[in-house]
Amino acid sequence: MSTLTPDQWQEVSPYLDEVLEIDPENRAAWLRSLGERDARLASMVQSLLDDKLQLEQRGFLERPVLSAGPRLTGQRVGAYTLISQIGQGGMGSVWLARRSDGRFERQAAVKFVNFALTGPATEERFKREGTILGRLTHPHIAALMDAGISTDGSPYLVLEYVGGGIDLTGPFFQSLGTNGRSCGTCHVASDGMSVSAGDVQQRFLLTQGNDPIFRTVDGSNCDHNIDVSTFQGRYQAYSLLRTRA
Amino acid sequence: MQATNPEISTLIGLAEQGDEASADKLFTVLYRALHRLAKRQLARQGVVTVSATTLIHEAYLDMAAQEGRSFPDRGRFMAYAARVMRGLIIDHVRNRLAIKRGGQFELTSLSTNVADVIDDDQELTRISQALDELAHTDNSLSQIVDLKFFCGFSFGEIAEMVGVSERTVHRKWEKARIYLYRSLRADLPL
Repeated sequence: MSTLTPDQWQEVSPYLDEVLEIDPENRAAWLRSLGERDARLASMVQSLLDDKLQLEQRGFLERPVLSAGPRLTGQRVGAYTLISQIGQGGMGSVWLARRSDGRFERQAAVKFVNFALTGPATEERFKREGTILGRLTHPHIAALMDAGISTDGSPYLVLEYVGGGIDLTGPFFQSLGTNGRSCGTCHVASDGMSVSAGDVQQRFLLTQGNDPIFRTVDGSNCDHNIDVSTFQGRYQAYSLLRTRA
Repeated sequence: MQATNPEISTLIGLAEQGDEASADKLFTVLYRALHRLAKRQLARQGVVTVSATTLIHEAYLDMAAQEGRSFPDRGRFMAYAARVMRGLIIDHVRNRLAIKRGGQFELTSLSTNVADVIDDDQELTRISQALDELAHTDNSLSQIVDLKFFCGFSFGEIAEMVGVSERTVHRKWEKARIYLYRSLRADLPL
């Protein structure tokens, strides 16, 4: 059948509404009964339902033009339902979310690491990021609200959503989630280098996170690329922070 | 907002009364605003992607803050903003095809999931034309396609914005898809 005229569409529209509300297995009976009253209308509805089947098989308009990677929208992560992706970097993505249980109206940001990168090291890093963020409190730094592993095995952090303020996908938060070869000044500042979380916080405050020390090149690594697993590396990282301060 | 521009709330009011000139003006003003906002976000974040949903939300907050109490509710605003966003997205796809990353901004995931999305501005343009036709018959259907397909909102979000049940949004979406499929089937790639 060719394109429907506006008049035809108007005519068939309420019937289409009705049939779409019926369970698929009961539609045949409904159509038969309509056909007894108006055969032409019934065949029109039938042909539209055939189209529906076809378009579904072809995935017509299935994915949004601006598709947000894995289809996570609407999925639940812990106590949160993902609303929309608000940022993406090399190391993962950040989602706007709201509590599913309706206990708070407050929105949150859920941060995932790239699924491809997920492994013991990533989980370890996420745990560390969670620890560091948990200690930092400042109006410009999103408070850590929750953390965990989603049902499909991806580690995630739930951060307070600071709308219009600091961007959660910005340099600071990217730097907080880099790989093992990362810069101690950026990533494990509070960890055994006599650099307190307060130092990092202050530094961030002074520079609004624009200092290269907080910046990452590609979202997966910081500029300094220092291996903090060695003493040499940690010393270098610490010196860097001190000289720049 | 520049002083020369009439307020968006005024334009929406006039457009709703069927004033075509105001509807056109509204489109232009919103288009510029969304485009400017996208660029501003990029400048601020230093990232290369902006999501359409974030953009629209921010546009609403921005404009509502500027124009104050008289500003229409989110649902009324979205009805127009989503249509404008469609234009912005199609232009964006077109530009991206014309000049590969020639100083234009990237909208979310066009850069990362190219294989999965419609990467053909002509097909999008045909969808857009069919949607404009659909809007004459049933505006609420075309609006849902704008929000869902072009802007990437979920059924739940759309239900909240438009003020109907999620089930209704779902049904309207199915109807709109059937309509569009019927109009475009001949031109669709296999």
